[in-house]
Amino acid sequence: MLFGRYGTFAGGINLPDEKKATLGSPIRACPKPSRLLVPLAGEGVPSAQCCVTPGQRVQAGERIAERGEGQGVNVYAPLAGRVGGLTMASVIGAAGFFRAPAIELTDVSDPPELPAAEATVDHRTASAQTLRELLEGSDVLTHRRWPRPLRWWVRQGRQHECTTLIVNAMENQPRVTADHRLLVERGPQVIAGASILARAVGVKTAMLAVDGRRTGDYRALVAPAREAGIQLMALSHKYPIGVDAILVKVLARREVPLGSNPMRLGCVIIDAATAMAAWQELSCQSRLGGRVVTLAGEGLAEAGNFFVPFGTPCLELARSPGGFTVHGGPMVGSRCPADAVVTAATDVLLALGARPSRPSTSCIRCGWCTDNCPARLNVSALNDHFELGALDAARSAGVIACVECGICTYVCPSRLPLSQRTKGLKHALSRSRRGGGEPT
Amino acid sequence: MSRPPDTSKGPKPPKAAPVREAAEAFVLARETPTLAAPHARDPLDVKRVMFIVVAALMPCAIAGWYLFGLRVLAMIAVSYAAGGLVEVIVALVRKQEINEGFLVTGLLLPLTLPPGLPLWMVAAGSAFGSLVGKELFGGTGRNLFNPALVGRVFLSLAYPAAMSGHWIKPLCAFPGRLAQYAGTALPEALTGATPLLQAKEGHWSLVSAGSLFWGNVPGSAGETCVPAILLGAALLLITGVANWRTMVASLAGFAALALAMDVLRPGAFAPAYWQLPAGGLLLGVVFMATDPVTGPITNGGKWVYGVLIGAVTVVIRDFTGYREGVMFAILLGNIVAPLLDEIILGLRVRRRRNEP
Repeated sequence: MLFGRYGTFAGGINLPDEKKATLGSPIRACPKPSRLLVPLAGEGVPSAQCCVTPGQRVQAGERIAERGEGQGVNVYAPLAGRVGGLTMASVIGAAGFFRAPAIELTDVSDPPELPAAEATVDHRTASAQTLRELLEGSDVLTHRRWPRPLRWWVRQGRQHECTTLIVNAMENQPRVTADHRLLVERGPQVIAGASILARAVGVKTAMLAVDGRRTGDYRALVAPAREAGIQLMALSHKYPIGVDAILVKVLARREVPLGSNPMRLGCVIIDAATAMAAWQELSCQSRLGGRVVTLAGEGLAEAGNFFVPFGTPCLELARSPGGFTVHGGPMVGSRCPADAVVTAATDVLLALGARPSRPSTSCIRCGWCTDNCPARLNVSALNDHFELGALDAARSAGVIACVECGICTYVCPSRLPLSQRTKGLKHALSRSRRGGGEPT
Repeated sequence: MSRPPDTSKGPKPPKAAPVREAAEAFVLARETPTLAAPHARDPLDVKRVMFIVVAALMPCAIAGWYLFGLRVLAMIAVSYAAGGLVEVIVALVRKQEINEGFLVTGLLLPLTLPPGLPLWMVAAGSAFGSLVGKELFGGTGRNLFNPALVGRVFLSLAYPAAMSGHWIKPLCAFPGRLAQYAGTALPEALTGATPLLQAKEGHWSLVSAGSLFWGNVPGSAGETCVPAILLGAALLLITGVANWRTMVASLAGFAALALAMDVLRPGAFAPAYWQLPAGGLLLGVVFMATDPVTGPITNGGKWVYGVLIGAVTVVIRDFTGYREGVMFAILLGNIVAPLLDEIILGLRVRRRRNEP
């Protein structure tokens, strides 16, 4: 069998797919931005120190900021241009956008195509120790919802003695096709990157999980995956299988314990874009300086998949007249503020026509949120706890297991902002837990 | 309301546009993205849910009109007027929008009443149901008991004679009583006996199961015609508005206990196949037990709740002085529903904690 097939999970819904607009559109260079705001920090990534002066010209790939303490990374210019100065930009974090220091680049050069570099170094024979040292010295960020340094991710995987690597290319929010195009056009590179990461962490099993409806497009992956010893998994597209905790539940047949993460079950999870970036850095010894982003939505003249340099202002890429731009997909995304920029986490930007959600009415206890909750929470009871401010009751109801998929708000006939409230409870709980000094 | 151009399907014929828009507003429309996250919403909201329930009740209302005459329509109008008045006053006092929920309650209540009942009693029941059954608890979504059933319980306790005597004989042959106003104007149509009353006296075999199925028996306005109820049930199940588990569990609980009675004490009570289409069982199971507000939320809870309703109905019909048990069975179910949820969720969280 070319693709392994697996079961599914309780809860979840089949969303309208809406990917047709960009599914077949190849990755292109993005239109030239007027300026870049290259962020120096991220959630959990301390700010790098600027090492250029305003007015200075920089080349693409030139270092513009030096790694800070601890989890910091060096920052490189994604495009050639002139340094405008130090400003602030909004980048995405765990709880939405926040402002971080950024270096402004003006007069930038034309953005490149997604490089199709040939490998200059063959890592298939390198030892795990060598790979780890190379990754330790690299400045790749994971391209997940909140980017962390890849070297931190490898260390975490080692610490938890993980035995399984899962490359999560499910991408099952509507309209998102960035990872799909990456697998279609750069599949062997993604596989090579995944195998580098698998050996660096030292896992026994490595899997690539893809949408079961698209296996026909991924035939080119089969031979490299077999050679690299990576299992291909074609899974159901029921939302939110792309959420880490749910994917692990499906593939490992085990629940992530309350308030914990998949690493406790010995699974490390990474995405296709990070695997590609790791391969580029280690095998081609060059930096990508950008990532593939799907631009879609009614407000756009031209939808498609673009290779976008980091630091490009989101609103320059996707602005809909009279509407608004959403970063990160229709279900889990958040609305872009005016100075939002593309970071490693940006997989999709949607320019949407605006309409305020209708006013919410009171809960009619239909139970659809509870039926469809992939974390098996009683969301309507959590809503009561939220309205009463009963944090302890929410804790004993297990709110910490919420995967923030947004299904409860999606299905709620009373239009209650359920996922927002559940998320609020969850974050309040984890804050109080951290403050109380309890071990996590 | 501005909708983005739909480019996927090409231009639509302009002739059907008004029809399509009306249909979209209720059932079909896709949602445009919303400003608050997530930026996609399911188009099925409370307004449409209520509309679908009202649409599902239509076959019952029409069957009631056909079998028992224009009085049924008058009862519905009076019920809407009285319940609506209460709703408007409450909305004015609370300074809130008027809730769509009363469209269902106002239609459901008259369908559970004897079609010969004086209209002022219908008004009293509807007003009581809306006020005490729903608004005093805090409005739609906060009531513990089904408001239509609260109204009916009020009437059957306050006016027991009228509630058990004002039945109308159905007229099956076309055109039925479509143009008749049975009642005081047509005294020969009045009757005092329903099949369940006859069954209580041991004469169930006087009424065939076939006439119970088609509705050729006296009974409450909307409960006698089984095909009409099944039509409504199909609509509710296809749209997913009502949960199939509650319906299946109620019928299973009812059938299990009724069959057990057949076996344990043969001949003492009406047999299960006869009791199933008799009385308000199906109407109650399809439209009242599945009321989301007063039922349990968890699927496990729905199974237990349904079985409980079915079983209690048999117990009341067979072993108490009351002829009809569905009303009390559902109200009892309403009482235990929150408890069932609590138990099921407690088990779920405990299982989760025990995982490694």
